[in-house]
Amino acid sequence: MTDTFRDTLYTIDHSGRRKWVYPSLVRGRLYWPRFVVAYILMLVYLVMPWIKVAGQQAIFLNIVNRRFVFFGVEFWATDTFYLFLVLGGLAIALFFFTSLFGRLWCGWACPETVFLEFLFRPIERAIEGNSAQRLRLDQQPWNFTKIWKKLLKHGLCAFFAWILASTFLAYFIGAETLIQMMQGSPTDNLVPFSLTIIFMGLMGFQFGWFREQFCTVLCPYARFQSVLMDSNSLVVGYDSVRGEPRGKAKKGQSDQELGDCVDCGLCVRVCPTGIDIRNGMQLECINCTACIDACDSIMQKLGRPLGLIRYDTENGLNGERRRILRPRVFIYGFILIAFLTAFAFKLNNRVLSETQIIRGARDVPYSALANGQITNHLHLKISNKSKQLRHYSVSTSEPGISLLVPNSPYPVEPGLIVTTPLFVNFDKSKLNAGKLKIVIKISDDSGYSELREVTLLGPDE
Amino acid sequence: MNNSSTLSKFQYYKWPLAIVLFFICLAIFHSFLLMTAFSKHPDAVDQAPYEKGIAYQQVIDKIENAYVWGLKTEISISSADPDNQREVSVNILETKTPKLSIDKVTIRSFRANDSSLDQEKELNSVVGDYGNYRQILNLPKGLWIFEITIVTPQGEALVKKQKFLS
Ligand code: SF4
Ligand code: SF4
Repeated sequence: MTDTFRDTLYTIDHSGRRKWVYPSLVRGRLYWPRFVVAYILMLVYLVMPWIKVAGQQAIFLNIVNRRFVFFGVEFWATDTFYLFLVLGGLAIALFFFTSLFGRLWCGWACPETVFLEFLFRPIERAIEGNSAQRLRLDQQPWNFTKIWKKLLKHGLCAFFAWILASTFLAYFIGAETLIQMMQGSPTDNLVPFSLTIIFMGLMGFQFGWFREQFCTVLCPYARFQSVLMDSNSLVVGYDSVRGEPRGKAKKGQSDQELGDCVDCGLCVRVCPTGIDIRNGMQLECINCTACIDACDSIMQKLGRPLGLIRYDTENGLNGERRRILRPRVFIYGFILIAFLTAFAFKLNNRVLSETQIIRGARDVPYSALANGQITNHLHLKISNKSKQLRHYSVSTSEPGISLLVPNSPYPVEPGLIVTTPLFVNFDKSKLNAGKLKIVIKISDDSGYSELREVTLLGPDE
Repeated sequence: MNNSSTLSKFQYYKWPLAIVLFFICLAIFHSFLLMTAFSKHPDAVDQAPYEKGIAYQQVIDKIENAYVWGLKTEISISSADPDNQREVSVNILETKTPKLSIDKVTIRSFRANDSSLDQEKELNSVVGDYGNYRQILNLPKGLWIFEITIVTPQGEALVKKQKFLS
C-alpha cells in the first residue's frame, strides 16, 4: 500500500492531470433501495411544479414578485422571521442528521449523486458500455463508432438536461407560464430562454465533465463533515481488524494467516470518487455504498460473513462500543425541536394583515385648516396577505381627534399592498411643545386589530 | 394536414429548436476558434503544459536556493584568441557560514537569437582556491547569457549572468 492517498487526490496523476474515473456497476443489497429513493426524488422534482395546492403551484418561488408559495402557504419578502426559522432549522437539521447518520444525504439524496448515478451515468453505460469498454473507447482514436457514440450520449444527456433545466425554471416562473413562453419565440422571453441554456450548460459541465470533483474539491457540505461527525457517527467503513493482512493465500501459506480481504480491488473499481476505502475514512467518500455491495458480492462467493465493508461507526469498526445517544445528539435535537416548534407556532398564529403608519419624507409636517384646526398628512400602508378581500378601518379613542381616509372601511384586494392617505385633524390647544402623541387602532373585518402610536406635529407656540 | 395545424405544432418546437441551434452554433464557433488557433499559432498550443510547469518550478527552486544560501557569483571572461576561445572564470562567494560543500559547477552559455553555439560544460575547480572554477569556452563576440548551476549535497542552485563580449 502506498501512502500517496494522504496528500494526493486519487483523481490527479503525478503531473497534475485528471485521472478520469470509470466506476464499475455492482447491483447489490443497498443498490436497489438507493435506486428506488433516487427515482422517487427525481419524480417529485419533476412533478412538483405541476401539482396545485389551494389553486397555487405547490412550490413556487416567485422571485420577481417576491412571493414564495409552499403547499398553499404564501410567504412574502417581509416574512423574514419565517426565513430565519427555516434556514436556522435546516442548518440545525444538517448538524443533527450528520452527527447521527454521517453523509447519508450525499449517498442517497444529493442531486449530484441522484442525477449522476441514476440518470446520466446509466445513459453513458447504455451507449458506451461497461467501465472497461468506456475506458477503451476514450483511449481509442476518433473513428466513426466513437463519434456516433459520443454524439448520441451527449445528445441524450442534453435532452434530459433540458427537461431538468426547464423544471428548475418552472419553480421560479411557474410551470404554466413557462409552457406559454415556450410556445412563443425565444426572443420574446430572452431571459428565461437564456437561463434554460445557462442551466443546461451548467448541468453539461457538472454531469458531463466535472462530476466527482464537485464532491471532492468544491462542495462546502463535504468540508463541514470533519467538525459535525465524530467516532460514533454512521459511516461507510472497512473493517481493517477483520480484513488485514489482506491478500490471497500463497503456496505454503494458510488462510488463517490472512484477513478476510482478498485484495481483489473491486471496492476501488466501483467507487465513483476513485478512492480506496481500505485506507480509512476519507473526505472524498460520499457514502454511496457501492463498495459495500461490491465487497459483499465477493464475500458471498467466498462463503465468508458479509459486511467487511459496511455501514458502521468508527468505534464499531474498531471493535469498540457504539454510542448513538451522545451529548451532541441531544443538544442538536433539542435546538432542532425548538426551531420546529417556533416555526409551527408562528405559522399557526400567522397574521395575514400587516399595517404601518408612515410620514412621507417630502410631506409638510402639518398644515393649518380654515377652521383653525391642525391637520397632519400621514400614509397608511396595508398588506393583505390573505386570499380574501378585506376591509380596514382606523379609529382612535382620543377625544377631539378626527381621522380621515378616502374610504372607511378601506377595501384591499387579496395579495396586495396598498398605501392610502390618512389625515388626522385636531385642535391646536392639544399640542404640547408642538407635539401630540396619540394611539390609532387599525382593524379589519376578519378580526385583525393593532394599536399604533403616532406623534402628531403642529406649531410650537 | 392543413397549414394552421402545422404552424401550431411548430410553436411547441420553437424553444427546443432554438436550443439545438444555439448549441450547434456554439460548436461551430468553437471549432472555428480551435482551427484558427491550430493553423495560425501551432506553438501557442502546448502539448505538455504540466511537464513544462514542473520544469519551470524546478528552475525557480534553484534560483531560490542561490538566494537562501546567500551565494554571490562573479564571472570574468578573458579576451578571445583567433578561434574565439576564451577562459571563463567563475568565483562563488558565500555570505553565509558554514561554507557549502560544492560537488560540481556547470555552465551553460547561449545567445538569445542563435542556438547554434549553445554549450554546456562542467567547470574545473582551482585546487586550493575555494569557490574558483574555470573552463575554456567557444564564445564569439556578442551578447551572451550564462546559467551557472552549483550542485551541492543539499540540492542545486542556479545563477544567471549576462555579458557583452567584444
Ligand atoms: S468509498 Fe465506497 S461509499 Fe465511499 S464513495 Fe467510494 S464507493 Fe462510495
Ligand atoms: S472487495 Fe472486499 S475483498 Fe475485495 S478488495 Fe475490497 S474489501 Fe477486499
